[in-house]
Amino acid sequence: MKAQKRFAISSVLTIAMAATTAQAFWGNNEANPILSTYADIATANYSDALNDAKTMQATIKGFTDNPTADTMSTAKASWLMARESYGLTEAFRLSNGPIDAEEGWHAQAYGAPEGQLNAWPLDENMIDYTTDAKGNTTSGNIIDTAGMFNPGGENPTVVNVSTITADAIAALNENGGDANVATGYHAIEFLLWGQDQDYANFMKDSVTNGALVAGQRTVADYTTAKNADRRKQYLNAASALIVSDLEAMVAAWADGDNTNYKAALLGNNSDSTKNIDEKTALSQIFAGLGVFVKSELANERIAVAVLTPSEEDEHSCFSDNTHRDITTNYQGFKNLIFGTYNGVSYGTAPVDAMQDKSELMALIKSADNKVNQMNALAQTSRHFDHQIRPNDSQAKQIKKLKNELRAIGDQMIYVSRANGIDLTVGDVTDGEETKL
Amino acid sequence: MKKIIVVLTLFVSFAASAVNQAFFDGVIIANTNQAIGSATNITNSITKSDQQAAKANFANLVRDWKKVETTYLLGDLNEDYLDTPRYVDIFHGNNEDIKSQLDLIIESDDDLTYALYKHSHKTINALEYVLFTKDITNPRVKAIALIISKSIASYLTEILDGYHTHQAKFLKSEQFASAVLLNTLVAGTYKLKEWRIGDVVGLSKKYKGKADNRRAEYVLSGNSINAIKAILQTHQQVINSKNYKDFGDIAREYKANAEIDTAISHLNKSISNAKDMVDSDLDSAKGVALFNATSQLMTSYYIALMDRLGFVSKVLDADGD
Repeated sequence: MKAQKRFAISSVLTIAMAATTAQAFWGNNEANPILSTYADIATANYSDALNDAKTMQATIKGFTDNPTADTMSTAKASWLMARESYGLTEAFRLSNGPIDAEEGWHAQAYGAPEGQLNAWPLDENMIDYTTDAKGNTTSGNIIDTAGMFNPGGENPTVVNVSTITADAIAALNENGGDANVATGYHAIEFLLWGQDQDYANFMKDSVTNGALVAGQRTVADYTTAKNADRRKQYLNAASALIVSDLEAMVAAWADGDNTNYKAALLGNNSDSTKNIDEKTALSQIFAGLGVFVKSELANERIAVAVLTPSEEDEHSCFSDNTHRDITTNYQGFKNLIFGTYNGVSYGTAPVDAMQDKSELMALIKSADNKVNQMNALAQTSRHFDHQIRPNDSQAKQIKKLKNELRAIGDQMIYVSRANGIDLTVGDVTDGEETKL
Repeated sequence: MKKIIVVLTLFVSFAASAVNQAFFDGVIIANTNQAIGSATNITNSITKSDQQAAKANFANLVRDWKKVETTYLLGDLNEDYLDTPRYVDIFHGNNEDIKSQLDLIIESDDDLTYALYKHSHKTINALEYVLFTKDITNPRVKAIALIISKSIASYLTEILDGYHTHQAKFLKSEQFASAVLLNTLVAGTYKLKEWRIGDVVGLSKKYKGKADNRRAEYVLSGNSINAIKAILQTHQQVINSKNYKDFGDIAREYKANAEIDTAISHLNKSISNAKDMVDSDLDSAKGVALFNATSQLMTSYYIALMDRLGFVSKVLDADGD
């Protein structure tokens, strides 16, 4: 059982959201251009993520209605596509925004669904069968328990899973502990791909052997195998939850709504008490970007996997899509500091005010090269879980990438300073990041 | 786990004539060479299946590795070496249960080259478990112990080579050298008083009022006080040596006499308190006294001395998982 990798916003920046009476009325003030750019990218990015999730939901429905190798392949392709746009949105995390705010009106209004959307690493053994370290098939999971299910862990609550519904798996998510992940992209990933990891020894790789081989769940799990119908229920329930959670994010960032989070961020919410002080907003965003790239991406998603080394700690360990997770997370970060989305400028960017960007740009250029290399090898030679093997030359490069991403996180101090906000290394580092 | 982040910002006005080559050679290089020698000795003992000698040499390895770890600044000279210490030592840096993992590996017949794939399986912590709970006359146990001791020796050699290759960065910039050295001392003192003493005696934030000797760093071999003494001796090498110009001398040049004297006083008190202790004393009044002395040492470093020398410091610590 692994603890879920999810951070609280830096305590140093736990700044109460403050109302500004001067910005009480819609359109009375020009919004800060950096905040406008940030918010407009959020609008576009979450809209794309929702559309891709809806496509995934439709293809999963098509697969479960008619389970064949082709429809399964289509469903997998749509999951991979959905991860592309969602991965970019992850740079909006850790900034006290609607995706993961822990307090405030917007946490209540939008449900802070990050943990329900993208929790990891998950204990897949809770969802469906696996092959354990001794080669035995596990049981006692949600799929094979047609009745009351106890997720185990600390103070668990029993949930009725006679029918696997969105409500049932939502009630099970993190019920009994952070590793008890029952919802989100990675639950679907496991149900589509199945186990890839050899729990006994990932160097032996005896479950799905091969450097370019991901999980090998068969269509039979959805046709002739026991509990096939319950797997179908699970897939549809999980995809429905993702869509509803992303609909909430789209609503939070929608244009033309003077009651939503975007309006509050830009100081235009009709309820002036919800408006966020401009300096507070910028502080939280700059610090959040730093923490995301340094502590979440570099430390939790790369360092833990490569320094252990551990396949269990790669982000998409069933589909072997981790190289794309890293790539899109990094691209999402770059989108927000450069004010671009899909290669199009969205306006004033945080880096525009920097007098000297040379160190930041040198780090980004070097990290770009390593990310590209990781991607190229993942497609042609070996997946991320083979690249992190201690005897693989790529392991050293991935460690260097980790170091560069951490340095890029620290660069947010200078990005921030150029925009009149003072941050420290502590502000761009999560004090609870995994110590390695 | 506890997490500490020490951030140092150097005022431009501070321009100390930093520690010199004699210090670098006499402390950084000499300690690393000594640790390599201890790792070699333990490998020889294991090769001879001499468990008693191996255990005795393990105490020397703990002592010498802690000295290397206490002034480890190679990651500041070249980022490729940032993670090297965690390949040697995972105390407080890893949530894995390596004992059960090593038991499985010993019981299996998997090729050890693959079975010991995790870095944590080849650390000093793993070596302690194997040497002090297993029989190295068992061929598989012996093979595992050898792989571990050779791995430690290899990383220590890598560290030595790294220092030789990148020493210019330390020696050419006086401000940089002073900053990274003090940073290392402060971070190390926090870990000393909080993890190595406070967690055991029940005075750390995480385990307040819950003393437990089983949290000691080397509980299996009884080398926890040995490690603490080595750390304190290394601080003495850095701030109070007569053999070369050290950090204490620099502090005096910049009129931080009172502050460095206070630090040395707390260091001497810590050394004195630890002198006659054994591991079982940690959970006692002696442990409390040692915790208090090392706490004062840390305070003297990161508040008084830093401030006097023109550093801005910030120490964060937080309870994690």
